[in-house]
Amino acid sequence: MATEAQAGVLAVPGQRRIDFGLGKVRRFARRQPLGTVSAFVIAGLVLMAVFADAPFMRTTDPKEFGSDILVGPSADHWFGTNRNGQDLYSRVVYGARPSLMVGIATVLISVVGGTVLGLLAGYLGRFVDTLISRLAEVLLSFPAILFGLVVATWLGPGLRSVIIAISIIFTPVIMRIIRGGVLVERQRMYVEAARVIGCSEARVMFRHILPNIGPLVIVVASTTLPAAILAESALTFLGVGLPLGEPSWGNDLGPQARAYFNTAWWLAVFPGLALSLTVLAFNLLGDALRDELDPRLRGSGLGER
Amino acid sequence: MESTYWSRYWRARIRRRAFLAGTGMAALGAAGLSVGCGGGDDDKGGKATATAPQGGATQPAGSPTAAPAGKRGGTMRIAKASPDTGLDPHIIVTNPIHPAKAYSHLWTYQPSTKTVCYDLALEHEQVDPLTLRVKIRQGVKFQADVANGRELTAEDIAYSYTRFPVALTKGSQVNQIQWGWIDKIETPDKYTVVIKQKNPFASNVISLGSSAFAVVAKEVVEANGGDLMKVMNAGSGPYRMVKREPTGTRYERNPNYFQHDPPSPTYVKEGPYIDAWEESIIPDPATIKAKFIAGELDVLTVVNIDRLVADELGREKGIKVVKGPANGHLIMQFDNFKWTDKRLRQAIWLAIDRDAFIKNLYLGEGLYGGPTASEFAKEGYGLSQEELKKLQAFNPGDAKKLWQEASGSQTFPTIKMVTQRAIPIFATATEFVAKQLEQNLGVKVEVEVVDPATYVARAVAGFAEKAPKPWDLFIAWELSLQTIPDYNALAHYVPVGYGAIFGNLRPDSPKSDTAAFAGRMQQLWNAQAQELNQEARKQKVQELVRVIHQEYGPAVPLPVPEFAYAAFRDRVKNYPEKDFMYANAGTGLFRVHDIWLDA
Amino acid sequence: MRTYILRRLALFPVTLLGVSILSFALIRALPADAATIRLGASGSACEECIAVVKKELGLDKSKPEQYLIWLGNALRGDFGLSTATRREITPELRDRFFTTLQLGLVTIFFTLAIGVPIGALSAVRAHSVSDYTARFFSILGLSVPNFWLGTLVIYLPAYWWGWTPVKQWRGLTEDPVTHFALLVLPALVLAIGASAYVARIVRSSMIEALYADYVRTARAKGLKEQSVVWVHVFRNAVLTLLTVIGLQFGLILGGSIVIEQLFGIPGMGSMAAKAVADRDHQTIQATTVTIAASFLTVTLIVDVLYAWADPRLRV
Repeated sequence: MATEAQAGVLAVPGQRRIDFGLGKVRRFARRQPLGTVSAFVIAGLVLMAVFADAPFMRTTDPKEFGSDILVGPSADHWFGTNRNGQDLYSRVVYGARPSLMVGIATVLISVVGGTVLGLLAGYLGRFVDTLISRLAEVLLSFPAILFGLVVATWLGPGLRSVIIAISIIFTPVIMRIIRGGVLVERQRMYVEAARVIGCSEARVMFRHILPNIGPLVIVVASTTLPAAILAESALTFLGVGLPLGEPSWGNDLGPQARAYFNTAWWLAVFPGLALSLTVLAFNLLGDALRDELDPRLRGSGLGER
Repeated sequence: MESTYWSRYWRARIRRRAFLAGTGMAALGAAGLSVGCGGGDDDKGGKATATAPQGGATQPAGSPTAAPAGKRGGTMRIAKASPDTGLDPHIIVTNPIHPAKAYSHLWTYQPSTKTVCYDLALEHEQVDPLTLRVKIRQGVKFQADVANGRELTAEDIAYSYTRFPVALTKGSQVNQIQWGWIDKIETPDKYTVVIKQKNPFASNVISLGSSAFAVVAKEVVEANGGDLMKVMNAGSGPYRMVKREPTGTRYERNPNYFQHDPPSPTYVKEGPYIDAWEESIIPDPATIKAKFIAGELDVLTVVNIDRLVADELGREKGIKVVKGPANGHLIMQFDNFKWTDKRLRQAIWLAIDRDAFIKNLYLGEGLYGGPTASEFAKEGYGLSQEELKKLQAFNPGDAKKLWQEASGSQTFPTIKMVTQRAIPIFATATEFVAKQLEQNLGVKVEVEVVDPATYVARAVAGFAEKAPKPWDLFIAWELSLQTIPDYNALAHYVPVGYGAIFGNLRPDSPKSDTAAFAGRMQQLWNAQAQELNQEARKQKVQELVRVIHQEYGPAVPLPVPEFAYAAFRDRVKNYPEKDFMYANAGTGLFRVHDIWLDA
Repeated sequence: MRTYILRRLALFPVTLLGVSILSFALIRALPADAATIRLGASGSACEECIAVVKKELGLDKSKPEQYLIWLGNALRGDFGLSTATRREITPELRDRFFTTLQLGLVTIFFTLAIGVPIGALSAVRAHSVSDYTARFFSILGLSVPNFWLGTLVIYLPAYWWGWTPVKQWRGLTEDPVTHFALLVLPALVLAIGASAYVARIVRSSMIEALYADYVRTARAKGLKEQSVVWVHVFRNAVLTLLTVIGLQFGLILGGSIVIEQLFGIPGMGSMAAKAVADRDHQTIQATTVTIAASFLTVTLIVDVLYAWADPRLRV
């Protein structure tokens, strides 16, 4: 509608716009060296996962049973081999895929889901809020790993069940955080203004409030991802998750690595490094983002109800 | 202890044998062969045959009450990953160590030396193919707080051994093969037990040596609502369980333990050497291993140790590693509801490279699956490795041809396999086989990896409804039981064992081919089980195995590891080095009396 | 204030009920039940046997009926017998609850001991090398999978020095010193990850407060730096810290499965994990409800404290 468009363009006082110009990026790089480095590391990891089977990566079939059993790092096998004669380097490279997939999928599902639910609960209030918040509380008080264990057992092995299980666990947490942010934004002038000119509830939520809790969502997403990756490895440790033969960092840190710890240190070190490095990179990036966007998060502190 | 004709007779025989053997009584569990174990001589029709005692501590020949070879005292520290699910020896067989300690049995059986080691029994006699007669000791008392420590008589044995059908309704895990042959038990007098059999059974004596055949006190069973699942002590064994908690159990010496007479030179009249057994429950195998290395555990066996770990441990100070024959069997079950076309079974059979399997999964230390274990096969209860290699030759060309000829990909567009994560060998073997089938038959294979509970459910699915299973191929791992030359391996190939439940091999199958096959396998099984003449029995077992190879079914034997390893700290003496693997599954052949601790 | 508390309390049982129903439904959705496992593992699946075992375990009744029976007993404080071991659940659960509780408390102690100083240091020296270093190590602790860290802690000493931290378990009444000593390392492993959150919260709260108006006012008034920092700034951080602690505690109560398995600690986590594997319905119900109740209690306490301090948040 014309009036609304005009209203938007007029930049009602108090409304802030997020501006992703290049200046912001440069400023970020300057003030958050750790975060910038992490961003590059992550980019590298993603590329590694995507191009895992490209010839220049020099990987071999990570599930091929080979004859060089438990060989240490060498020219043929940069990271050595495991008990099944599988090349550890290939397994680590391919192993990035399930971890990143779990991370990304979980973030997509739980952040989108959590944000929508948080908006609804925080803005619409009353009955909707009560309903959503009670459900969230039930899920939240359910012991997390146990829940993951049960759901993953129920849905059977594989990435899909792990993703679903972890997403369900994270969504209520994210919902709470977003809801907190929405509650604060709700008090602001621009919301009042938007309603006065007749915007529908949906419009207010998604076109006005959402952009303003954008930084919050970004920070939440950047911390959820590494948490999801760690959760997946914990579930794998407990016996649900990808089948043992599939290359996955969680699997490779499993029974084999721990059984031959003393004689084959490489089994534990390389996948462990890969996993920790990835999670560390995401965490540092998230921390840097949070630091940058922090002043704008005032009042919506994480962990609040 | 009254000196009967029989006890004097045995004493005389043993003295003579010891003299002839020259080396005297052995220190190993084979010591059971000596005085305490009557030796189960051939002339009595018992199954066990006496062999010369193996090396160990020597004895002055001919002295029945020799000085003990070991020191008394000390606490043995072991660990396992999960607590027991129940303590009733007639219901739960997956915890054989408990009955071995807390209860008495007629005898135990030593597979490595093939001897029967008397415990409660003084002698036994197979009066006729359907009657087994046993004389038991006098003056054996139950533990002090069990039935007021009264004397154990033949009545108790009769009661205990007829509990099995009742135990079945409580979910007993003791297989029918082990006790189904017993018809009834009579007690002509206080110290004589007469077992009447339904059919002749060549392995009856061995069967009775299992820890499942513990003697329990009727009063205690009845006082606990008919089962002993939560009862710590209800018998007359050398140890009493004093603590049972989620973090571990503890056994202490039973001061009331009856004295074996004549006493074994390796265990004194006052009862077993070790004062106490402390077993910790530690869920993580890596932690168990770390504790062992740190010297806080005394034994590391089978599940927690393989050759690579054994090599590594062998280099450490204060640790001794032993290598013994493995007793596991790997079986790939067909769903016999679907795999009725012999050509398809043959194709699968031929498509697996067993040499590569051994090389990859067992690091080259493996044997072709018999199915009977190599120990038994060596004596003739099975086929030789040479013959097996020929019968299980790898021939991908023919396999593919047969598969296409019989339209395998139409019947099985995807071959579904199920396996579980908890035991690595299952998962790895399944994946290996899956890859082999994909490569060599050009067929798609889907492997489902589930948790142990679901695995069990998948295994038994379809049985009650006589319907196809939710899988096509299923790999199972069996640790041998001691009875019958490897019945547990063969049990998967016959209906009365696991063949019907796990493999849909049932005589009443709606598929007529399968029904006929099942009937045939059952017949062959009965023939060998009831054949009392050893040589003839060997022939019959071989015939059974050959039929399996001719029919390429009802299941596929896969290669097995050649050795099992165990590691123990130097202080542990006299640990059964050749039989330790039997202490794990439902065998309970474990004699705790002879082990002692040095420091 | 009172209405706030009462309102929250009233919702307590509703949530618990929800948790119990969810848990009940989930467990029964799993393939394989306790009866099948018991029999199937030994190769028996005869129908009468299964029927008898099911009856004994109470699995023959309809699901809603089973739930109501459970509910009725639970309300009287009786969690029944374990489906797998047929032993009474309540006494064992009580012991394990206290063990996990102690583990949680020791972990919180270490979390604060590590996280607060790091966070404070970071805040006071914001954007300096010390800040970055502190943040880096803090996050590093968060990024390493804790089962991995735990394995290293158990394994390396065993190989290097012939010693492991996992000794024979001693209960609190048996031997309190050893008991707590056994909790130290697992708590540290858990705390290394949790302290990162604490450090971050402390840091951002302190930074925010350090530059807040009222602090400038206090400085302008001439108050000493020390008192400025500690009195005004820290108070602000403490509130948010409380929430995080509460959350962490709740997570530990329910999520220490991995650490308990590794260190062999008889806590609720390992009880629950084993129960899932055994399809032990009764135990799972008992543990989830207990854990949920503890979590709700902790969050309630934290929220009440928070709301008492800041009336704006009594939503």
